[in-house]
Amino acid sequence: MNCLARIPRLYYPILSLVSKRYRSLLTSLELYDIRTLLGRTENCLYVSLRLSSESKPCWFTLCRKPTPIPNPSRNPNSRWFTSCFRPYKILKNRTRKEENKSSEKFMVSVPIRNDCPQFGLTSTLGTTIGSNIYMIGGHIDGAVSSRVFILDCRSHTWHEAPSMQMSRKCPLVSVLDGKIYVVDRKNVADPSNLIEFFDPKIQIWEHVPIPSEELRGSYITRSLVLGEKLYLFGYKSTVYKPKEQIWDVVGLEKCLRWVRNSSSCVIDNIGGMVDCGGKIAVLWEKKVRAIGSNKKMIWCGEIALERHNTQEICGKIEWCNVVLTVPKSCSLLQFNAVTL
Amino acid sequence: MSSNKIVLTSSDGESFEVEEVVARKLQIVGHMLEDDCVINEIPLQNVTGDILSMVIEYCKTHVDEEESEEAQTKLKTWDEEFMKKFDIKTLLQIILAANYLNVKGLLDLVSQTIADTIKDYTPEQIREVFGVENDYTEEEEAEVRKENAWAFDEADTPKP
Repeated sequence: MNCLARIPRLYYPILSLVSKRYRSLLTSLELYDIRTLLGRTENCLYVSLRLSSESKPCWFTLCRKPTPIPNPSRNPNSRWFTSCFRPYKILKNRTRKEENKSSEKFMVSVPIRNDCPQFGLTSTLGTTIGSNIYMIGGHIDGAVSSRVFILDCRSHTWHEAPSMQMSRKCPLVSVLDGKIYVVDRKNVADPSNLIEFFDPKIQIWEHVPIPSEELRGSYITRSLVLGEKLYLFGYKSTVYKPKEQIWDVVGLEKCLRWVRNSSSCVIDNIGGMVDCGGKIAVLWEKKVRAIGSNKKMIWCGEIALERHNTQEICGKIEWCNVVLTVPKSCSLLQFNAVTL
Repeated sequence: MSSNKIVLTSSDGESFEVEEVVARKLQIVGHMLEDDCVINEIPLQNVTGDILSMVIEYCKTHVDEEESEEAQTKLKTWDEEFMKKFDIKTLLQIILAANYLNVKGLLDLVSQTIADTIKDYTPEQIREVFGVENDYTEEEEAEVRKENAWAFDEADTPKP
């Protein structure tokens, strides 16, 4: 147990093949408690995909290539890759160098023990706190829902959390100070339900005092957490300070700068970017450019950030490769970093 | 007091005379001494002489835990070199001994070394080393492998 807890989680899918006992140990809460105790928690990436419009979403997590011995037949393919996707040549070359140290990573499907009843979801955005991915609102059986489901990434099981005070189709979700803030995109007639928050510690949804009328716009397009404050951008730009429970207006100049600088949690609508323990994890997809191919590849990479001085922040690509090849019909639903 | 010598005897009758400060690194011994049993010879039932000598070597090196960075780096290098001497089977014996004798530093060190070693093992190798019986039926194993299929086959590499 003590040894297993020290092994990076990337290796767990392979280790679970040893025996049933190993498999259950690797998903036991006890093991994750030891990891926490030893300070061995890691940030693990989870991706949710829908292989076709009819199928249920599948979850994937990163895994290290099982055998460290290089497979000779792999090299020609890799070279083909490099020449075919020139923009990524630099990235590929970099990873090649690092490869001896940490070989390529791939996505493996996560065996989830129970079904999430919310699988009809189309617009739900997941958010992470600790080892849990929260799926909030969206559609269940065609109806807009207030239910909240949690994927516990330690045991890979779905649980249901207390429902929100009202159903929300496609809310903006932010995490601030360990609490989940949910904001409706549209400002409906009754503004008292515009925004509520969930405190996982006490498992209660609570209302947030509503902004005064002059601070409310007709729509909100983005929410952003910066320095203990919740910013809402849209028709009007406002900021909420939970500690003092006050709303304030955000200066236009400031808001434009921030939206621009901190924008693109979604790149070209196909990929995602998440904070992975201070590093940026990026995920994007790319069609396989071969005649008759109905596949596409999902790329993933991690970028470490170094601040050189107050003006300059430098990103270093730690690794980057194709993590999964899927049918073209597949759509990317979620991309989360979980602390395990 | 530090010059006080204590004799540790292994399960196979091998005796080691060590200074009390070194012996106290073995918490099991530390507790015995605290219980006011004034003893000079301590039998250790669950550990053989060859393994006990490794544990003692570790304790001797770690006897004065200096705070300085230089000393820490030096110890770390020593730890790494020390661990390199052993194969996985020996490491497993040491971990059991470190657990029984309650030497926390060594337990952490060996746990990490084993973790680093076995992470690159195949499931078959792990079963062999740890004497784990594969209780999956063929179908079950195939099922688990299928779950991991994205990692195990080359399906991720498209054919040109």
